[in-house]
Amino acid sequence: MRRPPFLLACAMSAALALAACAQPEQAPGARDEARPEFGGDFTLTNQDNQRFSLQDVRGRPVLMFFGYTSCPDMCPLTMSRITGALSRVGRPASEVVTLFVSVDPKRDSPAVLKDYMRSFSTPLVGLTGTEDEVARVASAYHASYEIVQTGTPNYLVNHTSAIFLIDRQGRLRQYFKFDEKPDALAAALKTVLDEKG
Amino acid sequence: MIRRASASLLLVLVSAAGAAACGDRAEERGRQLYALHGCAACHGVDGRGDGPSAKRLDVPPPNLSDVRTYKQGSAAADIAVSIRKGVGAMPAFRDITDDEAGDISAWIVSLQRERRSAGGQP
Repeated sequence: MRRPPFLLACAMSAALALAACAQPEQAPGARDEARPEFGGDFTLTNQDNQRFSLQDVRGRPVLMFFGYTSCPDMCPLTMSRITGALSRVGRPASEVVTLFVSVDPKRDSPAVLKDYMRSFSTPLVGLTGTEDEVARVASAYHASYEIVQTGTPNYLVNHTSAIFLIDRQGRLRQYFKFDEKPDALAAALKTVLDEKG
Repeated sequence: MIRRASASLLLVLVSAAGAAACGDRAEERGRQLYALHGCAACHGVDGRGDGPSAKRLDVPPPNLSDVRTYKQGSAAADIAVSIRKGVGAMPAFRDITDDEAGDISAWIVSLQRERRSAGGQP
């Protein structure tokens, strides 16, 4: 098994955090059989207050992104982008599982997530956990987040805005920067959907 | 002469009915797109600005049924531009197509109409 060079891993993290490139990025070596250093299984708590593991949806393609329910901009835009991609895929899109991992576990309880998820007619699994659990998942996917005080009772959370595409075997296949078009996301989804589980 | 007038009247009625049906379809598509894109997260299911995210936003989302709350015009065309280009604290939803934005706007304008019919201000 080949391990990715350390500098490459650092560069990936920086690229994800900045999220400035227009082209989709192929996770290096993502088609290899095992890449435990980037991505991988995890367990969090869903909006029904049940434990949810990525393994639970093995056999189905997964779109995953990090966000928080009071996000004023990136999260609604990301969901709109995912919605656009799923509609382009058509009927097979019903196989796709979309995961929203909260990077604001302090405020995003399962009940808050459930309320938020009701706003979307696109099926969406909201995930939260302890601060440590969320931090571990974010770290595994080279995602970053940081609380920003606004001088009001509210606060913002700067966070990685990439969309992660995970294949039927639970492998991270590709990630998409925030300004990637739904067409590119749809094309990658179709490729993964066409693969047998 | 009477026959020609009748034909003209029929044409007008059919056109009006067709336009109304088209409008209804656009509003229905808009209602579905509003839900699909999660506009309700901030604006609320009925567009009243009471979505689950609203209470923790520093700039509260407007009540879309109240034309007084609009900053860039409350007509359908203005709303479509606001959706695609952003307005105030709302980001630009560039992945929503012009047609989709038009349909969502049609539904939002129907909310304004319902409010007026119900005797709301204005």
